[in-house]
Amino acid sequence: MRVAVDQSFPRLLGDIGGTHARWAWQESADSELQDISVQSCEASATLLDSARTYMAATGHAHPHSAGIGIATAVLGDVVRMTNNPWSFSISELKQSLGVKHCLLLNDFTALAMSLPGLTASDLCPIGGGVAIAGAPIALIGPGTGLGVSGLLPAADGRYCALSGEGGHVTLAATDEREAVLLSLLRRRFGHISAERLLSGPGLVELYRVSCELHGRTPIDMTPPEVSLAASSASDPDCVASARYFAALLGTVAGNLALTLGARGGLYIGGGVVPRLGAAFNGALFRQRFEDKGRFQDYLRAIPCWIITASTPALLGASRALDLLPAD
Amino acid sequence: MSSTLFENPRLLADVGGTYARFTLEVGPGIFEHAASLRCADFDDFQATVQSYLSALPASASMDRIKNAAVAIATPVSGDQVRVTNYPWQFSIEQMRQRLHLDNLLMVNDFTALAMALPSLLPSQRRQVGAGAALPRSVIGLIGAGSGLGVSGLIPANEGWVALGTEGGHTSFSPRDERELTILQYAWRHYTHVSFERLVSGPGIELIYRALSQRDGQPEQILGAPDITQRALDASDPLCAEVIEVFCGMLGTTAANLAVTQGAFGGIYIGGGIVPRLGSHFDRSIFRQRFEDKGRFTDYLRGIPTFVITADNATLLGVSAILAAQLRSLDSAQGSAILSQIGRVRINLSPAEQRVADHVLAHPRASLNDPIVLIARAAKVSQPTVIRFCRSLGCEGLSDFKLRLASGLTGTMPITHAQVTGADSMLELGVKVLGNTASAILQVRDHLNRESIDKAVQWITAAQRVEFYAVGHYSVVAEDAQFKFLRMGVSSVAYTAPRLQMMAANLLRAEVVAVVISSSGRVKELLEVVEKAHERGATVIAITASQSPLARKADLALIVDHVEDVATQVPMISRILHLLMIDILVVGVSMRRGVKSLPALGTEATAALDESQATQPTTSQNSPGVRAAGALAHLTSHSL
Repeated sequence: MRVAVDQSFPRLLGDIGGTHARWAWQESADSELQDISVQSCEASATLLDSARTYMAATGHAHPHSAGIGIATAVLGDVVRMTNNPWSFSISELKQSLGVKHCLLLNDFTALAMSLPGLTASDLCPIGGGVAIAGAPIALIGPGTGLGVSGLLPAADGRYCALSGEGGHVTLAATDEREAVLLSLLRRRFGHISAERLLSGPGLVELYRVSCELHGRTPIDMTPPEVSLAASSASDPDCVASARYFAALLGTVAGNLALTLGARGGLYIGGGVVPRLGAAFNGALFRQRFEDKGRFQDYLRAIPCWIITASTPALLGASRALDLLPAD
Repeated sequence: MSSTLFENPRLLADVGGTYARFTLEVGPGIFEHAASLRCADFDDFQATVQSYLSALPASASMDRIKNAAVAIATPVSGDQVRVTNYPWQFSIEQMRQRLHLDNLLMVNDFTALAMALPSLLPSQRRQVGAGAALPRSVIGLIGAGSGLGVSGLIPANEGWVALGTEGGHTSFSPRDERELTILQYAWRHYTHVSFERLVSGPGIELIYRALSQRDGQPEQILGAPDITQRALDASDPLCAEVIEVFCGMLGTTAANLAVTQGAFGGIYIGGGIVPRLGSHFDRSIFRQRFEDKGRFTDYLRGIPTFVITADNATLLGVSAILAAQLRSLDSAQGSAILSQIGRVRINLSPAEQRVADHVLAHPRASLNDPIVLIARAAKVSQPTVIRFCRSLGCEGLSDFKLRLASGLTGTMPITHAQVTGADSMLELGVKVLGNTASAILQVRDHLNRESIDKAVQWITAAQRVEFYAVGHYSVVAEDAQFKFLRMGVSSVAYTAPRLQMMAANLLRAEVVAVVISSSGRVKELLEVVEKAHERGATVIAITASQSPLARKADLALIVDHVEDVATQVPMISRILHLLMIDILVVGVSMRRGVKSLPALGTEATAALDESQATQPTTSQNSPGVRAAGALAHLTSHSL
């Protein structure tokens, strides 16, 4: 018995972040994604408007199915974004788009779905280790928020993608400097999740804390500005911010790899790490990743990669349409 | 309800740090002769098992026990097992031989505990705080004892996959200044402070030392059981604080696990410490801390947390794993008779061994080849082949082949016998029924849960269901119409091609069209599908795989059966199609639940049915039972 998938083409594919919506069109199962386009979320009042604007601009109409990864938890029919005001009902969206299948999934689940299909040219390794085939795979991605997912091997060689909110784990401190940092922030925010610091806004937060610790006055900066200043080493607090960032990400990634038993490797997605470029201290990341007492050898054997492919989540959304039940 | 007992009782054991617990499972979920033995009293594992067995009554004697499964508090990989606390070390295979078992399964005790979770009854767990588990969702497991075990269960196909993880070794994240003080104290002794360092028996002692030091008290050494006891009887405020801190840290771990796994099936807490805390744990800060994740508080509020209270939960899990293993042993990969050949091979004569090797290497060929070919391939005489079969306890070659077939293809031999003119009426009846039964079993083995789920879901959501079929399959469509109407689902059957086209022309998005065709190549029906799609309706096909109809439909429920059309009207295919309809009816009925009842048992529908409709006999306030009662009227088989 088999679900006839050919009926699902052409497909409208989306990857909706807190600030940007990426759209693409896929004509058939063998064709590449076409007309990939990025829109600012602010430019449209709703997700549907954004989709319609995209289709009007690229001359596409009447998709048979839609697969959309979105940066929020998808639990029921009503989806509400955490980082922008969009909110909608999946069934209404399905009706408005006139599609047979409308699959909404967490954007990190979508990205996770794309991992088995990535090749060496889509990835940049950090440190050593060899992936064990068929073992769980971990995914972490600092962007507007901190996405976390994993692929767990199910029966018959297929994978099951986790849809959790692992960015909201409580952040760990691994030395006195980080302990001071966390105490300072806890006074301001109460609960310090990993996402609080391991995200674009988190990079700015780390910059501010560094200023505070050194008695300097922070100026208003955006995440890309902090990245840029860290890359050019033009501001000591931006450099410190990038260092904290790599170290904390290493700790959280190591925790994730242990929690999932991710001997199939750990992938880093999201926009922040690629944008940091050379300012991302891979060696420090790797050191913290492995720094887990007697489990050091266990973690040393796990490979880590930065995903450099431009639109993997769109491919993952398409894969999800192939595999996931469409409800 | 009559419960069937196993032909042979299964031996289950849970070997922990101090005690080895044993029980016999005499039927599914029926445990007898539970006993606990002190590991220290025995030299090795075998002696422990034999001591347990020798105390059993004669009716449960050793030679009736063929299968055993043992949970053990040590990592299990490969054949060698080493028990952490005792000088017990053995090979699983040698132990199996020494205990004269067909199968001996060793599993890590935490994995076993994880596999017990989906079937725990409400009486075997205690919920702490609010939240409700979603069905078929990831389940998280945390066990705090001498260490901190972390695992999870992932729903996969029909069953579950247990996740082997090292989640207890994640870096500890302090939630407040007090926890930071404890972390800083721990840093003096360890460079990496994991959750396990603090959320465990030794962790309780470490927290105690850290807080004594904070209070300027001399560093005291106090064991975790004493600290726990003093906290429980409120005799020592510092001990009470230690346990409160422990519960808070466990809350943080549990919440971290829940958000990382997306564990909407709930978080279960096992291990030795928490059950000992009893209701003290329920009153602790645990659940408050669990929910305390800033913006994600609502997310976590929905996730239930359970303390495992069943003291034999690990044995329940061992039982589930053994049952699953025996099932898969019965099916394609490992036939019972093939494993029997493997076991007895060493006792066979050299010539019979050659037959054994041939059968093991070419099981399917041995199933079909006549005795001449088997003898030739094994380079033995034909009587040797017969002797080989008798050595395995079979009457002869045909008996052996029957047992081999049952092992290779499923739980029952799937055969097709040609009805010939020489058959007596009785033989004829046996063959016709046998062929039909075989075909049904084949369909059963190829059922696709996902497709059926989806079909049921679509039909349940539809405003109307229309059934399309032609020729001999018209009765299937009419039967479907009748059954769905009886359930109160608006449905209609179209069996005349002209009418079908006119009807299809009026389809719309809210209607599901079910197209029934054995070949999937009937031109008129394919046109119906095209028209249905044009009109925006959803099409489900009940048809052969790879047929044009299966490819065109939105969803295909596959029934593959090659009918001998030359000699008889296609009977078996129609039965298979009727059964597929039956599956959908039962599925839709279960989904709709109580809603479907008003249409049942009324005089109008009863008059259509040959049988006397009876009133639903079950009470009003138990919808689950009522639905089951309704199902019993709809179908001739019980659920």
